[in-house]
Amino acid sequence: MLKATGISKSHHTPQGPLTLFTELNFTLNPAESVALMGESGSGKSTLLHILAGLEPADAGNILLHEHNLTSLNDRQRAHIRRDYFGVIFQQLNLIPSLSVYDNLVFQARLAQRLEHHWLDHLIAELGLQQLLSRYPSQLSGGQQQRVAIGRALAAKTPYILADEPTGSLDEINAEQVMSLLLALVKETGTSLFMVTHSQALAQRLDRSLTLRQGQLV
Amino acid sequence: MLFQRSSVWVLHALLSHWWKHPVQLSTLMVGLVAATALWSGVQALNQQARMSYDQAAQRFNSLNQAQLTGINQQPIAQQDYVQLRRLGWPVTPLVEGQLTTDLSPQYSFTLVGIEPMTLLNTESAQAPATGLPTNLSLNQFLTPPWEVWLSARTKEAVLQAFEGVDTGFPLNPLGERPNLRVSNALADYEMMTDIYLAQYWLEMDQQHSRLLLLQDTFAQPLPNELSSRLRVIIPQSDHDISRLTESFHLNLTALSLLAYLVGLLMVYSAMHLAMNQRRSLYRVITACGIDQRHLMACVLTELLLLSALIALPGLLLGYWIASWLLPDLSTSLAGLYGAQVDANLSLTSRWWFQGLMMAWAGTLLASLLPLLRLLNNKPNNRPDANIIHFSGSVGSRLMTLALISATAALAVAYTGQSLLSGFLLLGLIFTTAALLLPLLVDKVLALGQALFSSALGQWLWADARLQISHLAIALIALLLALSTSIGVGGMVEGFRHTFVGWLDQRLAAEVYVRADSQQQADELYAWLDQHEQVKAILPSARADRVLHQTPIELRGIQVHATYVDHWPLLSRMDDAWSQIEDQGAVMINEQLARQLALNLGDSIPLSTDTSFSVVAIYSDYGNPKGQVMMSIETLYQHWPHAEQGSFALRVDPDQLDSLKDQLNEHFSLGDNQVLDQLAVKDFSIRLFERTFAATRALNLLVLGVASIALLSSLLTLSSLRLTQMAPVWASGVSRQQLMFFELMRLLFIALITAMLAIPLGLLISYCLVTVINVRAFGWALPWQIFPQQWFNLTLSALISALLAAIIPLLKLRFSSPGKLLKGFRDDQ
Amino acid sequence: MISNRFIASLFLLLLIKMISACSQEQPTSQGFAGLGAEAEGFAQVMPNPTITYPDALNMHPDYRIEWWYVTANLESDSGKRFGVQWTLFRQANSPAPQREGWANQQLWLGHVGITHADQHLFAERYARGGIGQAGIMMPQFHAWIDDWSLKALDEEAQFLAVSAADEGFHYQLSLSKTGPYILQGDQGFSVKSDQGQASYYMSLPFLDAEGSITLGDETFSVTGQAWIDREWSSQPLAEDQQGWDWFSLHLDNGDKLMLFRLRHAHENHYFSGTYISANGNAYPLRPEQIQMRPLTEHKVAGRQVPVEWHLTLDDHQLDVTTRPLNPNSWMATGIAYWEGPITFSGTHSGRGYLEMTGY
Repeated sequence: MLKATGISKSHHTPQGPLTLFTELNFTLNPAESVALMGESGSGKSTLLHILAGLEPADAGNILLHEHNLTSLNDRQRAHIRRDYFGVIFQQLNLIPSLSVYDNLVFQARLAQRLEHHWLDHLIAELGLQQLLSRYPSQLSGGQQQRVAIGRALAAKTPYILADEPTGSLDEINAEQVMSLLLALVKETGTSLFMVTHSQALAQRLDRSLTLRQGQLV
Repeated sequence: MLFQRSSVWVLHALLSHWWKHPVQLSTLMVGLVAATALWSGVQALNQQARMSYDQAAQRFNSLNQAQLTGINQQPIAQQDYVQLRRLGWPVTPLVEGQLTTDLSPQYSFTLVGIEPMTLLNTESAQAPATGLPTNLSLNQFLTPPWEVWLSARTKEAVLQAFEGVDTGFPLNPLGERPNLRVSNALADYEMMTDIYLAQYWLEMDQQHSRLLLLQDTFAQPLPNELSSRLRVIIPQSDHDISRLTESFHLNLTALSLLAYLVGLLMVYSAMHLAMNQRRSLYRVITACGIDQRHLMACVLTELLLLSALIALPGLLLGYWIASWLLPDLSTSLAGLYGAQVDANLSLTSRWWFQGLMMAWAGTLLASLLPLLRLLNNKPNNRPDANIIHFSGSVGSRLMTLALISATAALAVAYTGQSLLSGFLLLGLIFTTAALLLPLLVDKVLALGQALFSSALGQWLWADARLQISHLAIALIALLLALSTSIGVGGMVEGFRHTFVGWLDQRLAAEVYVRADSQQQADELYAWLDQHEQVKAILPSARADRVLHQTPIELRGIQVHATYVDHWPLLSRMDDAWSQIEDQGAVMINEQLARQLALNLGDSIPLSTDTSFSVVAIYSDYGNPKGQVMMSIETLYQHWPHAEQGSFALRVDPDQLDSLKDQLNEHFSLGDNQVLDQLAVKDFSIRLFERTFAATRALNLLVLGVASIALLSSLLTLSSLRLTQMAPVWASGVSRQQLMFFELMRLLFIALITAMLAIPLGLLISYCLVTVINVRAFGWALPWQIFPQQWFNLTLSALISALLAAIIPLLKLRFSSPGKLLKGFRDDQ
Repeated sequence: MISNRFIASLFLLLLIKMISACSQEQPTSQGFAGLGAEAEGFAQVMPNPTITYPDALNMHPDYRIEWWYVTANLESDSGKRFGVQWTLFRQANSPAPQREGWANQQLWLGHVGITHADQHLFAERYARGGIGQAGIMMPQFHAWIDDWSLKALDEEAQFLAVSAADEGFHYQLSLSKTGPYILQGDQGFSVKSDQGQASYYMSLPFLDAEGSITLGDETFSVTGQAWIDREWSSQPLAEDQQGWDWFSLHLDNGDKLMLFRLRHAHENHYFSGTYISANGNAYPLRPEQIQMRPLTEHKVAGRQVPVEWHLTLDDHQLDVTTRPLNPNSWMATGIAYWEGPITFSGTHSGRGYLEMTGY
C-alpha cells in the first residue's frame, strides 16, 4: 500500500513562492488503479514525481510498506524506485541510443529481476516481436509508449506511475496503448496511478481524483 | 561502493550514445587525440632534450660548470693540467669522446674518463688511509685491468664487442678485458672509466678534453703562458645554456599548450552537445531507479574510460610527432646553444603516465560545465535546444569576463619581466579575444540584420546569429589557430628577412681563412699579399674575458670599408668607426648591451686599468654570448696574447674559386679553415630553418585541428539545421537556394573570424618579437607585417569553412522532403 | 649543478662498492686505515738497515707506504703560539714494476694543519703519481703535491723550506738543521708490534724554524722548533692494531723525546720511543721503560679523545703532564685523527706535538 499524508509543495518562481498543494492525503491500494485529473499547472505531474521520489515534498509523509519515502535520501529513494515503481512519461521515455530490447529490459536489469518467460510474454502481448532490434527513433509514438509500458512491467514493480502516457498519441493509438496497459495491469495485479486529461480514460479506472486549488477532491 | 552491478547497465546506456552519434564521437576523438598528441609530443621532445642534457656526455658540459677549455676547442695538454695544479688551481681533468665498435651491429659509445682522486677530493667523506686510498673500489678503478662503469644494456653491447677484438677498445693496453661494473646512474651507451683507459681508447695520449674547476669562487687569473692556450669559463646563473634552452623549450611548450587548448575546445563542444542530447537519457535512468550521485559517478567513469581509450592513439601520435621533429630540434639546439640532444627518442613510463593524466585532466576540464549543468538538471526540466543569444545577459557576462582578462593582460604587460609572464600575456590576449569573438560576430550580424529589411534577408541574418551559439566554440578554435599562424608566421618571416639581411651585411667579405698557427698566419699573409685578385686582407684576433662572472668574447678587426659600409649596427655615434680606429673605442653586441644595460657613451671595464667607451651596438643573432669589437691594434695593445683569428679577404667573386684552389694547393688547409661567404650563409640559413621547423609544424597542426573542429561542429549542426530550415523551405525557398544561403552564411562567418584574427595575430606577433624573443633569446627583432600571409590565411580559413560545409550541404541536397517535413511533426 | 649531481652519484657508487667490500672482509682486520693490510709483492722491512741522510729523504717505491712528516711549534713576535703540520703520504696500490703516466700505481695524499689556541685549520690534497702532480725529486730533495712543497735548499739538505696554502690560510717556513739526524729503533729499524711488524724510521728533531703564517688577512712572523719524521714500510701495523698515540717533544733543556703507543684491540698495547740528548745521542727505549697514561678525555667531532697525558720514563727521571694548545685539533680529513701542538710540565717542561689515531 502506498500512503501519502499531509503532502505540501510549492515552487519558487520569480514572482514569489507558488503553492501547488497543501496537506494532501492519498492512498493507493494494491491492485487498484487510480486516475488523477486536474487543469494544466495544477500540480498533477509534480504530485506524481513526489510519489516516485523524483522530487522531494516540502512537508508530509509517503509511506510505502515499511518505508517512509520522505525520510530517505536520494540514493535510498532511487533504490525504492527501482524496486517498486515503473514510471511512464508522456514522451521521451526511452533511451535513444539503446535498442528496443535493451530499453525493455533496462529497469529489470538494474533491479536484477529479469525473468525471460515473463519478458517473452510481455513482448508478445505488446506486439513488439518485430521491433526488438530497432532504435526508438525508428518507432512511431504509439510503439514508443508500448515499449515504455513494457519496461515498467518487465521490472515487475508493484506500482506503475504514468504521466499522461497517451497524451501525445492520436486517438486510435491512444486507445490501443491504454487497453494494453490496463489489461496488463489487471493481469499482473499491479497498482496504477495515472495522470490524465481525459474524463473517458479516467472512468475506465477503479477510482478517479481531481486536483483543484491545491486539494484532492 | 559507488560502483554496483547496476552500474554496468548504466554505463552501457551512456556509452551507447557515442555509437549512435559517430560525429560527436569523432569530434571528441579528434579533439582529444590532437590535444594529447601535440601536448605529449612536445613534452617528449622536451623530456628527451632534458635527459640528454643530464646524461654523462653532457654532464659536465653545461655552461653551469666552471671549467677550463682549450682555445678553439683544442685538447688540453697534460703538462698544462699539472702546471695548473702546481699553481694551486682546484681542477680535475676529463677525457671525453665517442667510441664505435667495428662489428655489426655497430654501437657508438660516449666515453667519459675521470680522475677520481682530484674529482672526489673536495668533499671526500670516505677515505683513504693515513691518507691513502686503500678502499677496494678506488684501488680497482685505478689498477689493471681497470674498471668500466656502464648500464646493463651497454654492458651487453661491450660484451659482444669483446669478441673478435685483439687490441684496442674495448681491451685495455695490456690486451685484457677491463672489469665491467653496472650502474644505474649511467645512461645507455655511456661509459665511465679512469682517465688512463679513456686516453688510450680515444688516442688522446697526454691530452685532456677539459678541466673542471671545482671551486666556482677560485678567482685567480690564468698565468700568461697558459692564457694563450686555455680559457676559463665561469658560469653565471642567469645567463647560461640551460636558461637559453629552457626558453626554447618554453616556446614549444607554449605552442603545444595552445594546441592542447584548441583540442579541448573540440572536446568541450562534443561534450556539451552530448550532455545536452542525453538529458532525456538521464531522466529515464533516474526514473528507473538510479540516484544523481550514482549517475554522476557513472558519467565520470564513462569519461575516464573513453578518454583513456582515446588517449592511447593520441600518445602514439605524439610519439610519432616527436620523432619526426627531433632531428630538427637537435640540430637547432646544437647550432644555437651547442647543446647535444640524443637523436634517438627514448621515453619513460612517466611520459605515458603524464600523457594519460593530461588527457584525463583535459576531458574533465572540458566536461566541467556540461557536468555541472547535469547536476542542476531537474527531472521536470524539459530538454531544450539550448540556444544562447549573445545579445542578452550571456553577452554582458562574456563582456565582463573579457574586460577582466584584458585588464589583467595590461597589468602583466606593464609589470612582467620574465619569459613566463610574456607567455601569460599571450594567454590573456587569447582569452580576451576568445571571449569577445561571439559578441563581435553577433554584432556584425546584427548590423547586417538591421541593413536588410526583406523577410528573407531578416531570416538570413537572424538565422546566422542563431547559428553562432552552436559554432562559437569552433570559431574560437579557428580564431586562435589563425591568429597564432599570423603571429608566429609573421615573427618567423620577419626574423628570416632580418636574419638574411643581417647575414648579407655581416658576411661582407668573400672568403674567410683561418690559420692553424702564428707561423702559418704569417705565411698566409705573405702569400695573399702577393696576389692581385685579393683586394684586401683583413686580419682579426680574439681573446676571452670574464666580465661580471660571464664569459665574453673580445674581437679585434681592422677597420676597413668592408665593415664600415656593411656591419649591421642597431645604433651608433656619428663618428663611431673613426673612434674605434683612432681612440680605442669599442662596439658591443645587443645581447651584452641588454645584459649589462649599456648604452652608447657608457664605458665598459674590460681590464683593470682601462675602460672602453661604447660607440655602437650591433645585432648578433644566434650568439648566446656577449661580444665586444674593437680595432685589432687596441686588442693587441691590451691583450698581447690575443689569439690570431681568421683573415677576411675581399676578392673579385669571379676569381674566388681559383683563389681557393690555389690556397688549398699551397697550404693544404682543412675544410673548416677556408670558408666562403656562400657556404656560411647557407649553413646559417639552414640552421635558422631548422630552428623554426618545429614551431611551424606545430602551427600547421593547430590550424588543421581547428578546421576539423569547424567541420565537426557543422556536421553536428546539420541535422538540427534541417528542422530549422524546414519552415523557410515550406514558405517557398528552394533547396538549392537554401544551400547557397547556407554556404554564403558560413563563409561570411569564417571571413569575419579571419578578419578578427588579423589584428589579433598582429598583436601576437608584436608580443613575440618585442617581448618573448627578447626574454627568450636576448635579441629584439623589428616588427614587420606580411599582408600576403594574411591573404593566404584568410583564404585557408574560407577553404576550411568550405570543406567543412560540403558534407552538411550534401546532406541538405539529398535530404528527402519527408525529412524536412519531419521537422514539423517532431522537434527531435 | 649537473656536475654536483654527478659527483654525488659517483660517490654513491664508490660508497656502495666500499661497503660491499667491507662486508666481505672484516673491517677491523686491516688495522687503522688499512696499514695492517698484507703486503704481498712489496719489499719487506728487514733488521740492520743502512740509512743515511739525506738519502733517506728519497722515495722508496718498492715499499707500499711512506710519509714525510713535518711538525713545528712556533711563536709570533707578539707571543701568539702556533702549531704547524705538513705531511705527504705515498701509497702504492700495486707492487713494482712502476707503470708510466696515468697508469702509475703511486697515490699521493697531502695533509696540512695550522693550530692556535682558538682555531684549528686543515686541508688535504689527493694526487696520482706518474704525471708530476705530486712526487719526490733528488738529489736536491723536493717533495710536493699540487702547490704544497717541502724542499731542501742545498744538496746536503741542511736547510729546508716548507709551504702550503688553502682557502683562508697559507704559510712558509725555513728550517735549519742544528743537530744530527736520528735513526729510531735499532739503526732505523723500528718495531711496531710483538708479531714483528716494523718500519724504517728516521727523524730530524733538531730543526730551527722561521717564517710567516697568514690567516685570512692577518700575517704573523713566527719562529720556533720543528721536527721531521721519515718512515717507510710495507705493513707497519699488526692486523689487530687499531691506532696509535705518538709524541714528539722538545724539552727546554735541549733534549728530545719520541714516544708512541700502538693500541691493540685487546690490551697489551705496544710501547716504543727514543730519548735523544741535546748533543744528539739517541737512547732507544724498551717497552717496559715507558708509561703513558691518558688523563682527561675531550669530546671532539663526536669522539672521546684523551687530550691530556701523564708520561713517565723512570730511567730518565722524567715525569710530565701534557696539555694541548687547542683540544679541538681534529683533522677531519678523509681518514680523521687528532694532531696538534702540546706543552708539558713536571720534571721537565717544553713543547711538542701529539698525534692520536683510531679514535
